[in-house]
Order: sequence, then structure tokens, then C-alpha cells
Amino acid sequence: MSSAVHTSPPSPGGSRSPRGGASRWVGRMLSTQTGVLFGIIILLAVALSIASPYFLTGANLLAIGVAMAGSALAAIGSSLVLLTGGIDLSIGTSYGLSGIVVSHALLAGIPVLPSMALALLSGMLIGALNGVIITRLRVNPFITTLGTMTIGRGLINILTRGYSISGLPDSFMKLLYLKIAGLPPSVAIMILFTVVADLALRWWKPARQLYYIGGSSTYARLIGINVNRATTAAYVVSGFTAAAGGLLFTMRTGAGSQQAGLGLEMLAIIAPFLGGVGFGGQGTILAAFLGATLLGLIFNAIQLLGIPVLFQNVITGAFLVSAALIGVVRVRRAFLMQRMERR
Amino acid sequence: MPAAKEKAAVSVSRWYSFLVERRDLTLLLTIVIACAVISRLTPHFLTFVNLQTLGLAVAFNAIVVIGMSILMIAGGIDIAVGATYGLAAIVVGLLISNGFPIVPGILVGLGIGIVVGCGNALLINRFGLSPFLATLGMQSVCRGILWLVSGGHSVVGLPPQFVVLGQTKIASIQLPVYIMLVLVIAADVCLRRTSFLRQFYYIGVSPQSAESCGIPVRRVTSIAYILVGFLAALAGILDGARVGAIYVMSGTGIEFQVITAAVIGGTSMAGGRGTIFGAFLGVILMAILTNVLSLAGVNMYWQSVFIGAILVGVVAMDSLMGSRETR
Repeated sequence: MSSAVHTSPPSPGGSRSPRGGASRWVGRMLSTQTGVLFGIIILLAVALSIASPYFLTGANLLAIGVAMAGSALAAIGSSLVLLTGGIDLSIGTSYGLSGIVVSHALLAGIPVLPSMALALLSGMLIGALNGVIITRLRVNPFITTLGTMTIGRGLINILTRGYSISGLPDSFMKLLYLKIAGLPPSVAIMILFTVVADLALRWWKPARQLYYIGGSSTYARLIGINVNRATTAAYVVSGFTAAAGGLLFTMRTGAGSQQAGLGLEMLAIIAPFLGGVGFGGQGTILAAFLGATLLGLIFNAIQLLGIPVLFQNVITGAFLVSAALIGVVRVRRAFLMQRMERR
Repeated sequence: MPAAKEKAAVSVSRWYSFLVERRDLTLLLTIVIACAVISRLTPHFLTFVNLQTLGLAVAFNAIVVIGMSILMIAGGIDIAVGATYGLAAIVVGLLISNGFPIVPGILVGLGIGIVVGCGNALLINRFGLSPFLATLGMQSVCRGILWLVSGGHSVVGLPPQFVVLGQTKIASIQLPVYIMLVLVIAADVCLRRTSFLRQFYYIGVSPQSAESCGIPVRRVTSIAYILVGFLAALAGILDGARVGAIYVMSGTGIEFQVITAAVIGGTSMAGGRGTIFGAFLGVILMAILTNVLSLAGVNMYWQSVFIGAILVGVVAMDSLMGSRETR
């Protein structure tokens, strides 16, 4: 994936065209993948609001937000991992495990906040395990996270014996009706995390190291970046955001589901790809969020327009392939342009 | 004293390199010892019925591992084998249970495997996607189509003429086991002897040098992807015939087991190293392990924990050994 493309000092924006005024702004917007994605989302939203009277209602928009929260949160951590040139397939497992851990902890009589902390910790532990295996033992990220995904799924099934865990204490069930700034907690946390992560990746130096690692881990090492530590940190954050998504899901449903998070890793990888994250160390969290929004809109459209749900899987796969194709084409073009500039 | 120490060190490193280089012999020894120990521990292991079960458990994965190890030797990988396996089986099942003639039905199923392989090859060799990503996407697409065409229902009531394919016994061993043995031996010999298949080793070591030696790298690796798809479809169809029904979940997780088996058998994730015989032994070892866990009454879910841990453990060991070799 991290082909020999050295994007000179990583700029999150994209190429700039030397034109003036409003046309310059529009041109700049459309010259970035983020801008194109934003345009597609607007067009799709307009089309959907014409096609269905239910689309532009407050209830439906909130439902979209709640439905996409899990994948949008997971996409944040996934983006960081993709930036380093890795991949995290254990996201769905961390998501599921965190719900099971919090349910078990609550049933064991542990108070609400420590239980939630334990759930988040379980995700970070999976992430740390991934990071250590990948950076210290030098195992391919795909294989590592495929392995931890299988192991974690096995643990979930062992802990639940194949059933969902219900009958959680009232102190936790109260949270079902919690509102943060008038929004459901999952939507509020999603927005908060996205903003924080996006700003951090733009301005916070330690986070920006990930761009250099993605560009070339050898050069990153040469300029004094602790590649192993930064890469491991990316996997830990990925486990954390996935676990946060799973925790919020459990807070919403009031039960630890053994099925939760199955296949979520695909969405968490496709969303950043749609935003152009990860090919040779480029992309922003905002782009990944827009990718998740597009997926959320499409799944919402599937429901509103009565398309068989069985199509979802095909659509997801087709999206993964096409998003990856777009990314490859873009990287190739950038590579060619760089070569032409050099001449 | 130092001389003796040095001598000991030399003999240790010689042993070490023997273990690394002759992975197939080491594995064979491991399997024999494991069988001896297990048969001491439980009387149910070395029974004819259990060995029959074991043979069948090996058969389908071994057919897939042939293609997978050739592909991995060439530096590729295919995550979509499980989905191809299931999709081909379900399509064949749907066709022939609705009155489609059997032989053309099977050919359609095998054709699906080839088409999926072509799709992977196209995405990877023409459009330059990473093999992992392309086949992950393909897996999702295949599973999706599988759910669409089957509507989420398993296919039962297959005609007896089809079921025969998986259930005929010759000398009280089922037909798929023979098919597997023939394929494994043929593929192993070909990979050792034919110059066409030897090219995969060159490509795996370094695609650039292979290209400059005049090997059409893309065309040759495309053939590997198509071969994997074909073999996965074949295994899926045979599995369906053996069971007499085709489950919607058929083939789920095969990709793990097959990749793990190939790596245990000495195939390198980085390409350029491995044999089909070794991978075959890897499949046997995995099957014995699963079998023993079942005999010992270990929860099915723990088995997936074990398999995941083994996958990561073996690959980690391999990469550590690899880095030591090059040093």
C-alpha cells in the first residue's frame, strides 16, 4: 500500500490552483477529494429529500447520526492506523468486546464509571497487543489484526456463551435517556472526537508524525521519529475509538450484544478510503468523517427506499474496491505529476 | 574450552538451520510425535472413524491450500477464498436442485471460481491494488452475492447423482480424499519440476528482477489468482456434495485456516519460499489440533481463539527467524 510515493511535506489540503476569487475557492474545493466527497454528499442529500418525504425530518437525521456513530468513531482510529501504512481489522472485535466487558463488569457489581473505563481499556489492550506484535515482532498488520480479530471474537463468544447479556443494573440503564447538549450521547461524542482528532492531526506535532511514517518509515526514523512508539500509539487509539463506539452502542441498547461490531472493520476502513486517507501518508479525519457520512446516507437510503437489506453487503464490498481504486489512481497521478515537475 | 563451546554453537546453529530449511521434515516428525502422544492420551483418536473424519477435514482445506501456497510463493494472497468456496457451492446447489443438469451446473460453479480469480487478478495486476485490499473487497462482494441469490437459506434436497461425488467410498475412504491426494501430489511435483511453476519462486523473491529476466510477472501471477479461485470453487462444490446440503455459511473462515496452514508449512508471507507438501502437512497438523480439541471437549469458541493465536504466533516466529537468517 505504502508505495514509493514521497509526497513532499504532507499538506492535508491538496494541490492549490493559482486562480482568484470565488472560482478559485470552488476550484480548490473540487481539486481535493474531501471537496468532491462533500459535493457528492450534498447531491445525494438533495436527491434523497426529493425522493422521500421522510429524509429531511429531524428524527431521520438524528437516526442517521446515531446509526453512523459507531463507524464514524471507529473510522477515526482506523484513519490513524491507515496513515502509518497499516490496517486494523480487529476494530469490529474491539467494538463488540467493549460492550461485553462493560456488561460483565456491571453485573459483577462494579460501579458504572469504572465499568466503562474497563470497557475502553479492553479496546486499548487489543490495540496495544496489535501494535507490539506489528512493531516488535514485525508481523504483517493484516495478519496480526486478522488474528486478534479471530481471538477477540472467540473471547466474546466464550464470555457470552452465544447469548446477549441483558438485565443490566438501573444505574446504567438510566443512561439510555442521557442527552449531551440535546443530542444522543453517541452523536455528541462522535462530533467531539472527530473535531478533536482532526485538530490534533493538523496542529499537534506528535500526531503529525504519523504522516511522516506513512510517507516513508525509513525517512521518519532518520529524522528522529520513534516509529515503533508512534505506530503502536495509533493502534491503541484505534482500539480506544472502536471500544468507545461499542460502549455507546451498549448504552443505547441496554444490553451487551454478542453480534455487535460484526463487519464494522470494513466500514471503518472504507470510510477513510472514500476520503482518500492512507495512500502514502495523506488524508484528514474530516475526510474520513465525510466518508462515514456518505456510507450512513447510503444505508439510510437503502432503508427509506425499501431496497432489500441483503444488498448492503454487496454495496459495502463494491465501495471498498472502488474507493481503493480511486485512491490508487490519485496516488499514481500525484506520482506522475511529481515526476513531471522535476523535469 | 572456547573451542568446545564454539563447536557446540556450530552444531546448534546447524540444527537450527536444518529445522528452518527442512520445514517439511520437521513438520512430519511433529505430526508423528503428536499422533503418538495423542493416541496414548485418548483411545478415540486412532480409531478408523476418527481418521476418516480427519481425512475429510483435511481434504477440502488441502485442495484450497494448493492454490494458496502457489500464490503466496509468488508474493500474493487471497482473502476471498472462503467466500468463493461458499458462493460456488451455493450457486451449484441452487442450479441443480432446480433441475439444471448436474455436469453443466458444476462447470458453472467452477466458472464462478475462475471469474472471481480473474476479478482479483484484474484489480491487482491491472489497477495496482494491494492483494489484501482487493481480495478483502472481493470477499465482501462474493458473500453479498451469496446472500442475495440464496436469500439467506441453505440449499437442501440435492439430487443423489450429485451427492455421489462427495460420498462415494473406495476402500471405505471418500472420493474427495482421493481427489485431494491426486491434486496435492500432482501440484507438488509440478511446482518442483516444471519451469513454468518455478517462475513463481523468482517472482516472489523479487518481481522486478523476475520482470527483467523476461518473466511476464503480471500474466503469471494472474494465473495464480485464477487457479486459487478455481480450486476454492472445486473444494466448495465437493464439500457441498459430501454434506448433501449447502449451508449459507459454508466456507466462512477457510481463508484463515488455509493461510495459517501454509505458513506453518514453511510458506513465507513475503513470498519466494514454500512447498505444497509442507503446506499440506500444515493442513494436517491444523486438522489434528482441531480434532484433538474437539475430542477433549473444548468449546468450539476456544478453537477460534487457538487458531487466531497460532496464526499470529507462527507468522511472528517466521519473521523473527527470517530476520535472523538475513543477519
